[in-house]
Amino acid sequence: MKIAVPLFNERISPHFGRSSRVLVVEVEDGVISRRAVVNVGGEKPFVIARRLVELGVDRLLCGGIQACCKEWLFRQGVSVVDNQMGVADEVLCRMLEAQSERTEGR
Amino acid sequence: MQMFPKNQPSLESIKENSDFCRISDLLRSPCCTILESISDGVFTLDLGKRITFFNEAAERITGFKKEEAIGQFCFDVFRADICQKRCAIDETLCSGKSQTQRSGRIISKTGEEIPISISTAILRDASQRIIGAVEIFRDLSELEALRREVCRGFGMEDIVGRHPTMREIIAFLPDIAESDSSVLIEGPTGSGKELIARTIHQLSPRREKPFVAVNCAALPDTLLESELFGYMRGAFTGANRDKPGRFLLADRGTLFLDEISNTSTLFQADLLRVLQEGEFVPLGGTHTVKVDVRLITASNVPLSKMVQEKSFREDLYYRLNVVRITLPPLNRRKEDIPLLTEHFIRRLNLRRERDVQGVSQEVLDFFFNYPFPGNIRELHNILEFAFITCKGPVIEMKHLPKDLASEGARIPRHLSERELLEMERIRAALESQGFRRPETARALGLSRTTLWRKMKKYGISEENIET
Repeated sequence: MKIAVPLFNERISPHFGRSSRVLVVEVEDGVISRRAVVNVGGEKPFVIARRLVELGVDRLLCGGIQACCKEWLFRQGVSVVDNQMGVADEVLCRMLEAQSERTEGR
Repeated sequence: MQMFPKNQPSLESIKENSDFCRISDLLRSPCCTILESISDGVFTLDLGKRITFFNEAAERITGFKKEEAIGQFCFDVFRADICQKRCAIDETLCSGKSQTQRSGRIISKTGEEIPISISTAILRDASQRIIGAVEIFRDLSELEALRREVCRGFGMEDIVGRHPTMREIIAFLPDIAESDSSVLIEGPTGSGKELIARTIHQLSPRREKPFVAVNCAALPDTLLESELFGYMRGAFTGANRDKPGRFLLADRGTLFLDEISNTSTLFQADLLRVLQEGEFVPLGGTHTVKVDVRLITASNVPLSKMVQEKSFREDLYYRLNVVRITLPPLNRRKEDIPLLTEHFIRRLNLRRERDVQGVSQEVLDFFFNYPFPGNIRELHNILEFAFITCKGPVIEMKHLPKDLASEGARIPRHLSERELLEMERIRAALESQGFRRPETARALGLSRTTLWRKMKKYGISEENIET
């Protein structure tokens, strides 16, 4: 699974479309196997959203995102986890931990 | 430059921080009550840019509760487009100067993009030491809506709908806009075809260029040609000067041809030639004019049906129908009625400087059962009428147009589950039989009279069923 997190320094960007620096991680068996910070170019929500789809992102972890953009991403098969705040890596780890706990719980 | 500490202390330790406490003390005064009661959003920050106070208006505008906001970095809650690069608070803290009326857009907790104006100022304690800053912001959504209303610059915000078909259309619009392909919008009269066309233009790379709309049904063929392609001086009696056509006016922008189905096949041939060659000769002219226009057309009858009936050119149909959007009639998206009602009341309140709060439950029930043959436009017109007759805060049945109120008496207020199913079954059968009543009655196992009676009962007519 490929997860993207738009960045504001090392934190999650609060306003989707205002940061073209995106942390992209690949997760295998609940563990981050590859990570890179990519510049997706452009500072418009749909430009960035399109670029994320082209990159094959499955999940977007972000702060605020426009409802129409969220809907569009959803229809492209990208699940959006919005209203997140904090240091990107920490939020990402917390999310993966919670996910693995849920899997183990099953 | 962005200023915020890298190491993040816990919320408890932040709240024990001396600046945080000083600001909190400062706000435990009568001025706090004033700040709470004003309609502008207000929040204060300590020097680490952590929120120390968040008033009720700030909660309403951002969608974040006070408890969620206090102790957080302001940009994580405020989420303005200027937070990351041109932060007003940073500029105030660096220069010591207040910022006034800066504009920006925030994203609320529910994903709504809200235009705002921002003012900031330094906060000092009794000994004049800087202890933080205050940010005041005003929601400009209504002003912007009014501006859009005046300029007819409608956008995504004006497309209201939660119905699955509408959600699908809304989500598809950015792709359509980006593509530059010809678009055909089909849907019954009053279903919002022009709004969709304007939104596609607004979202497209051509947004800075003109959007030119022409209603083909409003002009006879000869006038339509001169209107679209323009004419040269002396082309006909009364042509005293050169006149550029709508095609030329829309150069590098979007041309919207509404009710394209009402044009003659002769005109359709001319239009096809222009679309194929990207150039035309104005009436009475000798030189060709090249244009770069994105074409959006709309029709209230399905063009494919007209092609079958040979009343619309097949070659032009395929040229126009690269991307097709089919808008449902309002009676097929009833769940959107409360949202649309609220949306129109908000717009009418702005335009008429009124403060109507909404419609009564009885009116809403009536809207749910009324077939709306005129679709969204009819709903808008009903509410516009009600704004004249209603002087209070709530629109009641007595405020609706008289003929409508008597129509309401005929329409059952509450349909049972069984009746709703029957209504849908009749609708579907009529559609699949091309609205031929004898065939529909046969397919449903009803007599023609019974079918007619039931159609009347449920307010089903050809106008409000065709898409």
